[in-house]
Amino acid sequence: MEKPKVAFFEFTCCEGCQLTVLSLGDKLLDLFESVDVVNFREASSYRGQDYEIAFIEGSISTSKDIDRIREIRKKAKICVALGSCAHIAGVNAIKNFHNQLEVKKRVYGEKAWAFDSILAQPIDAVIKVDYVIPGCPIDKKEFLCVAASISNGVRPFIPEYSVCVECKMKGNVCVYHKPNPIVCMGPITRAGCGAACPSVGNACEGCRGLVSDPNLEAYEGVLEEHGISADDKMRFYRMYNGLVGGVK
Amino acid sequence: MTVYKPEIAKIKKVEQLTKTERLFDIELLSGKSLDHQPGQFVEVYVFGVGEAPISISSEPSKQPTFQLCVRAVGNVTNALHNKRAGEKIGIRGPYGKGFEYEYFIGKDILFIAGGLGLAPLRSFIRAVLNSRGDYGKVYILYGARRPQELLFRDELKEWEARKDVEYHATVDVGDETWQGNVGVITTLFPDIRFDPRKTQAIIIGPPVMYRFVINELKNRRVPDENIWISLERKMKCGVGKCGHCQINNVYVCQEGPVFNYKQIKSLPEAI
Amino acid sequence: MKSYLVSKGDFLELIDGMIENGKEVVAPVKQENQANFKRIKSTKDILWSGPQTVISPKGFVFPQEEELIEYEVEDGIWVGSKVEAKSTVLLGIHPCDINGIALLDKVFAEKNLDENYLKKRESATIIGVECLTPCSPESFCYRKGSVLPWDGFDLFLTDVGDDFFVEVGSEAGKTLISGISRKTIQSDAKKLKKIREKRDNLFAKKQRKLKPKLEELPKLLKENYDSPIWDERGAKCFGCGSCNMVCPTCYCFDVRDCVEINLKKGSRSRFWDGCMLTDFTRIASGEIFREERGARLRHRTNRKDFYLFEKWGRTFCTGCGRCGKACLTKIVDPLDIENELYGRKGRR
Repeated sequence: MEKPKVAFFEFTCCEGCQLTVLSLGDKLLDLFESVDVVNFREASSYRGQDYEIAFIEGSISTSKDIDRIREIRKKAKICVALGSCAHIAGVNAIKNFHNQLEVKKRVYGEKAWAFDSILAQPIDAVIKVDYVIPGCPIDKKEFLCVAASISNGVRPFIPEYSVCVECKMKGNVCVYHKPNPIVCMGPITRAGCGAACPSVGNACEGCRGLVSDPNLEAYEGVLEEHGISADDKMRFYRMYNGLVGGVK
Repeated sequence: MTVYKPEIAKIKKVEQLTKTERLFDIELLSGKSLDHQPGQFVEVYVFGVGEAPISISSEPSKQPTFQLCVRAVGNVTNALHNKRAGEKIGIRGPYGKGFEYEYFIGKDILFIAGGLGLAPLRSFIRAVLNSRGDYGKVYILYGARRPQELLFRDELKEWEARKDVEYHATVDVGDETWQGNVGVITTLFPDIRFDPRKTQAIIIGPPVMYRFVINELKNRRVPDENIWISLERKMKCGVGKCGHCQINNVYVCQEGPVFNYKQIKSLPEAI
Repeated sequence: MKSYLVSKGDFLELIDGMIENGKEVVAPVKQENQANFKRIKSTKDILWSGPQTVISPKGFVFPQEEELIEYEVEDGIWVGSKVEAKSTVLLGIHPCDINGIALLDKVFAEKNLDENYLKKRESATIIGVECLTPCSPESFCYRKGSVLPWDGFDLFLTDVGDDFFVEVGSEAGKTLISGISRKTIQSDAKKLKKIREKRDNLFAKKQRKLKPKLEELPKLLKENYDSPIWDERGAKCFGCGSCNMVCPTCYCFDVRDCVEINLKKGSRSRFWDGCMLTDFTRIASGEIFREERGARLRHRTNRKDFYLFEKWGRTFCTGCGRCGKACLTKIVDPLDIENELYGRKGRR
């Protein structure tokens, strides 16, 4: 069987997801043996233009991005959104909820007008995305499983259930039950991370996006019960999920 | 040893039936016959992909080869469609309760199949036609969405030609090639005369079909205990543990997929 | 089976000796403001009474993730069973959880034997301990007849002062303490009886009441199949499955493949699944058979106190109260639901 040709691309992001791939250790060697990586700037200066599977990290946030990602889509048979920025625009979209002129000035100073900057968008706002590997950053094990599924021609498994499932499996004390409860998005966030944040005492911030049918009304009831103001609630949603449908 | 370990089997032949359905001839490497009842299913395992419950389409037999008619609709069935003769897959089963066909001996039988429902029903139809003398009148009603979606077309012709079988087919949407009935399966009912007391009605089709067909049968005064259906549910284990196929208090993989209507009509989650 | 007395000191020394010899001993230990089952290094780590562990110990016999088979595809195909277990002592298990495991024993040994479970179960020694005070405000074990184990333990300890009163549930249990056990006399039994009377009174006073009779729960749930309560509570349900995960008797599982990136080796594993999750009943064509959250809540409740209760003649809710605690919107607690159904019925 011929090895599938794979390329990695980055748009607006920290490239942390690609770094996660690089830090796979032994498994990285397996990956390089099993697929032909033609474009991966974190790992190699070689720039191949012939690829079947494109892993795309980052959000669309300049008008040039739009053209570039459309070119990638034309060449790739399969496009995979890698991480929150590509999947749901993630933290990049926080700026969307502020005055754009002021945001630009804060970032670029007085010459802000000269810079090409548009509202941050997930990549599926511009191109058709075949699969998603959620997370900020992505989970190593999940990346390998998804990569294997794709090269096997199979739709990869991404959990539909909430982070609570994995959090309970670990026997974690629910952050809402601790002496000083903190707001956790676990009940409405898609699992697959192994409840990484609650397992080390933090709250889930929703980086993997919401489950397919989040009960937002019930969730807001819980927040209210815990004395969370409407402003804080929005800040919470907008950390990663400002652009996710249903969130008001 | 574990009940979850599949037996390795070889694909002997693959036949494209329609755009989305293929018929696979399969043989266990052990050479044993599957020894199944009509209506039972197997868990088909495509290595590296997963398992899917598939009804057996061939009649019970002492031969090692059995047939599965598979629609490409999910991961496993799509992967199965990519398999060629000679390739290997895993098989667990046969599982579930099928039709105890001795019970039907001497009775009139009305087979009603909708769409892919013919795949499991064919097993029973063939068993009955193979010992035609053991049964009373035999009716076959078959409905599909379009003429191109009719399964086992060569066999349909044989059934139509047989004098000892009353065969009717219908499609929801006809085309220039189609000269038969157009309409849902219940539109075939006015054409057929059967004795509701002596007839066993066996229905397999998509979930929406059951309610309409059962209504029609009840209008024709067929008693509940003369109506049989087969239910489709998610099945992961096939051995009554994993819980997915449960309908109220009934595990479909254990007490079904074939049910007598009298047994399940009181189950709100059934149809 | 017989009962014995064992001095606490001797017993703990026995266990510590086993740990020193490399035996895996799992017991409840404190975890923040709750508890969890962990492998212990010394009996000093054991949390003998409340607060309750977040999840039940079922994972030690029915793991959260468990490989069922492994395979290699080269020229041919090789498939291997993964029926494995490590000899483990589960110590300090409360009656609600012993009964939970006893119920899992029934379902996994029914008809098609689940060797993966049974092998782990046979390799586990279960040493229970009687609860003399309620472990949490959510628990209602007394109302479910689950303050004492029905079955499924090797040893069951009751704190009677300097000694444990030990009920022996298996030959293995008997052998384990043969070197340190003393015969009980009539006064010991009397003492135990007194302790249990006191315990009963305390639990009867402290635990929330179950208004319908325990044995009438299947009938109550059957009659209330179409009650509006399911949709009312379902409206507040996340479908997050927390109640399924923490439950000592939930045993549904999903099975998934994981293939190595080289596509030559892979395995098939099972994972805890839950009937409250959206895709639990979804088939390949996309149809979901139990779509409404209220219908899922009804199914979960009915499994505990109707379907499986009728089938096995025993409630499948042991009253541990974990689901009621885990549920952030307070909709899932079976006792609450049953009381509400019973109350509404009364008003009609």
